[in-house]
Amino acid sequence: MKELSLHERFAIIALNGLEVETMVSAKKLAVRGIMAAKILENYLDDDISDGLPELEFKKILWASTRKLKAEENKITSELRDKNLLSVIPSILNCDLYYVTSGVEVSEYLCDSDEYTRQTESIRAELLESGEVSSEVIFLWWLLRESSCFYDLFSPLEVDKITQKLNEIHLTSKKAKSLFNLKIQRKYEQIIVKYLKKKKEIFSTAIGTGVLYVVPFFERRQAVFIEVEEWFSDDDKRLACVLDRFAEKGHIVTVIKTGTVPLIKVDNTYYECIPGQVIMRVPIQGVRLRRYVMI
Amino acid sequence: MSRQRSMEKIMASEYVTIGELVRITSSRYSTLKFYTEEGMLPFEQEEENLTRRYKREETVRRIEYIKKLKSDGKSIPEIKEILFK
Repeated sequence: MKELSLHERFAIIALNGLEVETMVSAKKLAVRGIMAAKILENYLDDDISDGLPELEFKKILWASTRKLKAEENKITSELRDKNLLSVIPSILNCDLYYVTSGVEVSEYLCDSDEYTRQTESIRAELLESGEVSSEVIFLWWLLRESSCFYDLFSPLEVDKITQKLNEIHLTSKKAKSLFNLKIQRKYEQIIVKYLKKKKEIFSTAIGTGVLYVVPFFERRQAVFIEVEEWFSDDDKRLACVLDRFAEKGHIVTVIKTGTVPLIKVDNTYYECIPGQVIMRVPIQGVRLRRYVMI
Repeated sequence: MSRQRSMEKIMASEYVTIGELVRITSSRYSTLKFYTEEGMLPFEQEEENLTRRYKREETVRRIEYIKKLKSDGKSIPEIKEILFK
């Protein structure tokens, strides 16, 4: 069992599932959070009377994309050396459009045991009665600023934690000084709100149905895999899907066969619905639809 | 606000919190909370709103035992029966 620093603990949670190649808003926030965590590491023991160095946090807020990329490379190699991070192919690589255009997308995958240990220990401390440590207060703020917080807690838990943190805010100078700081730019706050809403909508049964008709909104959850011949039967369609996933290095388990098979790809369930896309000629295949348990 | 205890200190202490148990055993908080509420993990608590404290060695052993019973295919009522025998 390794003893990790604050920025490593945060990086394990924030980088998990992010795309490697692109510097999207979510990744910018995660990397800024990692940079902020490095500053906060110096204040874990101190009882801050003069407040935190706001100028340092402002520098992070206005850091260039190049600087963020350099910071990302630094932390990812640090975590890889400790065998806590790997790069896996994204499910998008299996989509017809991505295969034919030759675009490869990969994602960060953090060690699942360490990820569970980190997230669950934060949950335990915030949801249990008793004192909350400096580390967890700092991690909570970092998760809030990088918008990962709402992925880890249910709305009911968020209410309970907010109440607890309000009390801490009133009594602790350290918390007061920290909670007022921001590492999100104004337009990023709008993007984050939009992405959160989008995720909420497309996680429902109706949302996944809409996504099936209009995959543009979240292609990751509506991957289209073509079949080799027209009017293939159920088995041939499923075989094409399994071949594509095997070729792209994904672990797939078939849960149910039939006209609409149910498969599990990298811990997410999908229904394989026969369909077609119209290009110069119609291309028949299978559209994956995220399976939502009702 | 105090600091979290280091792994070294946790492993040397007699009592641990539920958060520290999560760190030692890599179990989910909700799982340990459920075991606690079902009476499968004994704890001590000085007052109602204070942190629950678990005897480290005994509790870790018990969690490992529960995990083993679960992997053997035992259900929670069956595990409880075995534990309380």
